[in-house]
This record gives sequence, structure tokens and C-alpha cells, in this order.
Amino acid sequence: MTQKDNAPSPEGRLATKVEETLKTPVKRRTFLKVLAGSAGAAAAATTTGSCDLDAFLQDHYTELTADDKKKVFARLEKQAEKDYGRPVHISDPPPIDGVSFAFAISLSRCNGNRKCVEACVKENNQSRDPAIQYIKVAELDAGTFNLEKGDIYYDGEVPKKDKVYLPMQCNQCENPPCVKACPTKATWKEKDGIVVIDYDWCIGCRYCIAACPYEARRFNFTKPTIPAEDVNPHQGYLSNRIRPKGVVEKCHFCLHRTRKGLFPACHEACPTGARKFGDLNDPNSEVSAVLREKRVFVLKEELNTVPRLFYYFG
Amino acid sequence: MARSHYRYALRILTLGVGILVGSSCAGETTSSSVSPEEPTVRRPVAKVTVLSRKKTLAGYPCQQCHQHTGGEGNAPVTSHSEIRVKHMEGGDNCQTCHDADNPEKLRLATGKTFGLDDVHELCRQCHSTQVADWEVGIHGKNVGNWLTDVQRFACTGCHNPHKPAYGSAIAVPPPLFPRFGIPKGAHE
Amino acid sequence: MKTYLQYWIDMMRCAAKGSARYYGWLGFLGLLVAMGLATYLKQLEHGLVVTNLSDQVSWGVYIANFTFIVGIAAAAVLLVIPTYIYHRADIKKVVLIAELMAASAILMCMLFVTVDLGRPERFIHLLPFIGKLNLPTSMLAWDVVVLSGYLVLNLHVPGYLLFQGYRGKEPAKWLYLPFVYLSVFWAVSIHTVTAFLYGGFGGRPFWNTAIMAPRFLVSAFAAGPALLIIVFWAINRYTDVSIEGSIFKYLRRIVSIALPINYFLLACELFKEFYTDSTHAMSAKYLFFGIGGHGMLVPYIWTGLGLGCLAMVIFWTPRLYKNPIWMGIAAVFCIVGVWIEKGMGLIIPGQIPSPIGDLVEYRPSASEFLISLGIWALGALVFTVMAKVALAIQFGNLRAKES
Repeated sequence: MTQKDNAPSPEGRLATKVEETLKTPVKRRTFLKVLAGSAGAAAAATTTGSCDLDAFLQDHYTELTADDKKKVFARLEKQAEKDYGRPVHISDPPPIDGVSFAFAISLSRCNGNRKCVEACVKENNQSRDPAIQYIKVAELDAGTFNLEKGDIYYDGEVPKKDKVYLPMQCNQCENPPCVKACPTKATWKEKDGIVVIDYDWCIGCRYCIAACPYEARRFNFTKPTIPAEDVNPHQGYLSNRIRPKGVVEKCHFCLHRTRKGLFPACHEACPTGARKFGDLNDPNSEVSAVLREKRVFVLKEELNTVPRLFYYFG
Repeated sequence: MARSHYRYALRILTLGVGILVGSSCAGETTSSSVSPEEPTVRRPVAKVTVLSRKKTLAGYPCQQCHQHTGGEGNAPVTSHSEIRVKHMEGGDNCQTCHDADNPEKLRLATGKTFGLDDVHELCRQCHSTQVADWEVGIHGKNVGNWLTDVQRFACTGCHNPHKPAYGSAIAVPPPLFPRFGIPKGAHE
Repeated sequence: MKTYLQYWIDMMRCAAKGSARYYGWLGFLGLLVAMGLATYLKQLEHGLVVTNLSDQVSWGVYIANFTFIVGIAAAAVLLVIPTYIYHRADIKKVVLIAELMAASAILMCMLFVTVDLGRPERFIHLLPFIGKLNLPTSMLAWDVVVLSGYLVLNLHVPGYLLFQGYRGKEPAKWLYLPFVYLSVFWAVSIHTVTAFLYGGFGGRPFWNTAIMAPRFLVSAFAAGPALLIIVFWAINRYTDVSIEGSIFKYLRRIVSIALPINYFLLACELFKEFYTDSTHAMSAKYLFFGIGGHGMLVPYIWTGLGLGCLAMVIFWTPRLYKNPIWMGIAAVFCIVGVWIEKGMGLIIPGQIPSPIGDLVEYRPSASEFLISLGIWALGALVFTVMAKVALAIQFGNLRAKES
């Protein structure tokens, strides 16, 4: 390509024009850019389901002020009513000072009836389709604790002969691999021992699911489906409020109940009294009694996760 | 020419090592086991009440049927004769546990009698381990409020005293078998 | 400033002009990208339920591709070292192509992670100051940092050198050499951090091995140069730039060393699994033999290993590898073999059985396949365009005009 004369080439003219535009006052351009940018962000947000700039800009739970929380909860309550057809109330009970929760499960008493699973699903607004269940009960042959030989899908009359039933859920570990793994600190351990998730901060990368040695966490592959009459309207922000699509959830020791002194739903539902729950710092609690008088064990102790869910026989 | 490259490399390396060392924070301290810490707030001990059995029994109070609560009484014979005892096989004598003179009372082997709400005293005669566990909450079931007001089921709140062994139950249906799941029976 | 804008305009004009074959290639890739994008929009709408992922196997073909491609990106270091430290003049001519391939690969990696996220719009939670990046504990947070940094390095160095080339000016050493040296260590770090992603968890015994990082690096040094062989072959064939035989020789040598080391490390891993025969060996048993008649990955892993070994044989046999067709076949076999062994053959078995003993298999759904294909096509498209421009500046006459 040769130049005929010294006149600037078409490309050169374009470059000059662009440069001049760059120097012009930016009011109109900024407006259009912001508009385009917002439209782009809104399009992205809309396609991912959250049609809300407030939701997009919401801070991490630990950085929300009391006012922020009021606004956030109000928005979430409105959204839940719109999506699921039932008015709900979202609370945010703080951890009780000096409380350290633990769970103990008697493997002599558990007969595998799965009432705990059912109660948990009802209490915690878990999706019915696809079905999410925080608690999984494994049926093991007597004489082995090899989970790889366990069967979660047993059915029919229980207990079956020579079988042991092992309910499993989040252990709220002291040394939680999931908290280590999370790239955005969307999951963390609270003062009373419960490992919680900020569902509005989680990016859904599922690294925590890869990290958990107890398969405690569940992912919302799509928007949860719950019939209106099955929605539990008493919800906690960090616990059983209805989760959005694309985030991870798990057992949280029913903190919307337990932080107010109630027992977890699974504990209440157990017909054989296999579940023990309470405050480790209270020597009179049933769970302290178990730890004191029974020989307890935890799953995968060699991984040093230091669980708060103990198993015992007796 | 080459030496200036190595000088560059050395500078970058030093900078890199400095950044690495500076950014490596001390790891979090982890406890080796979950142990009770010194509570910062002293709470009142939770009250523990045993759920009353008297209030739930259909035949209570006994005066509904028995005019006198002593001796033979004049109650229709059929009302308790349906009870088949599957507890302490061979011990079909109702008076082993029930006070013959007062149907509202239970009796120990020593002859001591007490009300229906203290049935654990009776069970303790043979099942002292379980009752000892029950008294601290290890055996049995607590409901209510773990923080302030624990309510404990009495022994007979869960166990039928005439047939205490738990039978079987039909389990709540299992989770849906995954689309690509491998049935467990299929491998060694 | 004006020259820089002109530079971009000239580059875009160069990218937009080409032979019919060039348009055909871009058009084909563009079609795949469009299909992938359309499928991804469906995934955004419905959620990851359009995949075949489950709670038990929650990482699938997206992360498998991500793992493989990070290795490709790391392999650029194999041309950077001879160029900038040993001053090999022949490799210096093509090092920018390798760096641009690394940049395209990182772009693909970032896209694969993005399409795998449940809430991709919340990527802002990963940014420092705006979000809460969990450094230094989370390996995934480190991966975000190192991949972003590597992308910047591999855009800056070629970008600067090409700009200076375009202007006909000598590049200032301090503006690129420190970044080059940094990129040497950084390349090793991106793949080490990715290996640490998997290797750090006790709950995943198939992954929880110290050998993970060395395996990753060695397989990257096998697949990366193999891909470069194919790229340079294509440049030789379809452009008027000729790539010297010494470069192919160099690349072949690296692959012929890396492949056997890769299989040796795999053999070490398999010894540990099968000789110890603990319950943890279930994952390896599933991969190679299946469990109870179920083994979706069994034909693939054996094929992958077979192809890799065939590639090894070809790369060792002068009578074969001197023939460019055999060399090309070997390179393809090497890439496919490593992809299977390191991609699907690593990610999926690590999740079977699940941590509590559940056995759930996985194979990609049609959506996952189309989205993955779209991202590969986008990477190829971006790389083609960047390479075309880079070659035009380095060997052609894409220059700043005297005004």
C-alpha cells in the first residue's frame, strides 16, 4: 500500500477522530456508556435470575449493618412470597454467648426410619424437585464401618437384621475444609460452632463440595421447587430461608431454632431418641453427658477435621 | 549482554521471594479436639421436668372404674385382662409391678410404692444402666427448650411397659436413586 | 497515543483480511462459538440442571477441560526459557506465538470456570477490595490470582514487543525482560496451584497425593509442545511464514522426555493404589475396571493410555517422527491421551465413590458438550486472529505508516 500524497490515510483520519472524541467533554458519552454498561449488567443479571441491582451490590453478611439487614430481609421476604406464594418472615438470631453446640447420635437407638430426614426437609425449605436432603442415613453391615460398603438407598421395614444405621449430616467441624476452600469467604464458622453460608455471597463454584469429606453440602442445580403449603414461613437468613438457584446449602443445626433455645427439627422428630443435642459448655446438657460417660467416635478422625457430631453406642 | 539478563533475573527472583515470604501468613490455630471452653456468661441451669404419664393414660384416675382402690375392687373384669405382658417372660403376675391395694401406685420388689409419674424408679430395679443414662439425658428423649426448660419423656412415654421392646418401622422412602447411580449390591 | 490507536486499527484490519480458507476457519469456529453461547444462555436461565452434574460428581467436563488447558498455558515457558535465557535465535522467532497461545489458553480456562459457576454474575465477590478473596487459605483464590497475573503477563510481553515491532523500534529491555523472567516462575506456579486445588483435601484420597503437582507439570510439558507442533505445522502450511525444522526438533525432544516421565509418574500412582489395595483404591478401580459392570470411563482411559503410549513410540522412532505426517499423528495422540488421563480421567474418578461411599457416575450432557466446544472454538478463534496479526508484524509488513 503506497501513499499518493501527504494527505492522511483513511485509517489515520479515523485515528485522529477517535483521539479528538476522547478529548471531548464526556457528559453524553458517559451517560451512554453507563447506560450500556448497566444494560449489559442487567441483561446478565436477568438471565441469571436476579433482576435486582440491590442484590448484585449486596455486601457480605458480616459487613451488613442493622439497617442493611432490614432492607435485605424485606427484599428477600417479598421475593419469597412472590416466588413461592406464602408470606415468610426472615430472622437473624445471633449466637448465644458462651454456647458451643454439638450433636451426638446413638447408633444403638437409630433404626434407620429416616424421620429426621423428613423433618429436616420440611423445616428447612429444601427443594422438593430436584430433591435436596441434608441428612443421609447409611445402612451398614454389622461389623464394618467402611462407608464404601454402606447403602443410602435402603427401603422398607427397618431395622433390618444385622444392620447398623448411620445418619450423616454436616459435622460443623472445628477445622472445616470447606471454610478453607471457599474462595470468597461465603462460608465461615460462627462463635457457637455452626458453619454457616451466606447464600447471597456464594458464587456456586462447588469447591466446598469437593473439599467436604462427609458429603454434607448440597448444590441448587436449579431454582428450588417447594409447594406453597409446604413452605416453612419461620426462616433464618443464614439457615432455612429459601435458597436461590446456583448456591450451596447444608445442615446448619437449625440455627433459627437452636439459637432461640429450641431443639433442631431432626432431634424433635427422632422417634427412638437417638439424637442428642445441646451446649458443650453446659455440663448438664444431654450432649455433655454423652461425651462424659459414653465412648464416642467421629467419622474420618484421621483427617483432623474435629467434628462436632459424635456417634456412640448405648 | 548476557550478564545484564542474569542481573535482571536475580532482581526479579529476590523480589519474588520477598513477596512470597511476606505474604505467607501464620496458619490458623486449630484445636486438637472439641472441648468445653470456659463459658463467658453464666446461665441459669436449664430446668428439667419429666413429662407426666398420669395425664396421658386413658384409664386414669382409677376411680373412674374402681370404686374402692383396695382389695378386689368392683371394676369389670374385662378392662385389664386384654393386656398381654411381654416383659420379664414368665412374670405374668401383675402384682410384680402394680400395687395390689392401689392401682394408681406402682411397687418395687422391696414393697415401696410410688406414683405412675415416677415409673423410672421401677424400671431402675432391672435396667439401672439405662435409667442412669436417662437421668442425664443420654437415654430417652428430651423435648422443649434446651436453654431454659427441658422436658423429658418418662420411661413409659416411649416404652409400653407391658411390651417395651421396640418393633420395626417402615422407613421414610429413600432419596431418589441418582440417574447415573451404581446400585450397591452390584459390587464386591 | 495516536500510533497506538492506529496500531489497533491496523491490527483489526489485518485480522479481518485473509484468504478464503481463513474466513472458512473463522466462520466454522464462529458457528461453534454461537452454538456454545446459545446453549450457555439456556444454562444461565435454568441453572446447572442442564448438565449431568450431581452432588456426588459436582465437577465434570468443564473443570476437566479447565485442568487440561491450564497445562497448555503453562507450556509456553518451554519456549520462553530457550529464547530469553539461552538466546536461541530460531525459537526467538516463534516465542510470541507460544505466549499468545498461553494467553488464549488462560482465556479458555477463565471461561470454563465461569460457565461452571452457579452464580457467574457474582464473580465480583472474587475481586480484591470489592469482594472477599480468601487469601492465603483458599487454593481457588490463589488460582484466580495466578491465572489473572499470567494472562496479564502473556498479553503484556507480546503486546509490547509487537507494538515496538510495528513501530520498527527496539523494545526497551526493562519493559519486557523482568516480566519474561517472572513469567517463567509464574508458568510453573499456575499449574502447581491448580494441582494444589485437588491435592489438598483429605476427603478425596484419589487426589490427595503429593505427586499431583509433578504429574500436572509433566503432562503439561507433553501436551503443550504437542499442540505447538500442530500450530507451527499449520503456520508452515497455511501461511507464507516458514518455521524452521530445529523448532520442531526441539519440541519433539521435550515431548519425548515428558511423555515417559508422565507415564512413569502415573505408574507410581497406580502402584500405590493397587498394591496397597486400601478401600481408597476404589476410585482407581472404577476408572480402569469399572465397578460391578458399571464403568463409563473404562474404554476412554485405556484408549487414552494407548494413544499416549503410541505417541511415545512415534516420538522415539526417528524413521517415524522424521515424517511430518507421523509427527502430526503423534502430536494429536499425545494431546488426546493427556486430555483423557488428566482431564476426565482425573476429575471424575476423584469423586467416585463419593466421600460417604455413594457410587454415582457421570458423562457430559449435550449442553455441556456444546458449551465446552464453544469455548474451545473461541480460544482457537482468538488465537488464530492474534497469531495472524503477530505473524504479520513479525514477518510481514504490518508496520506503522510514516505520516
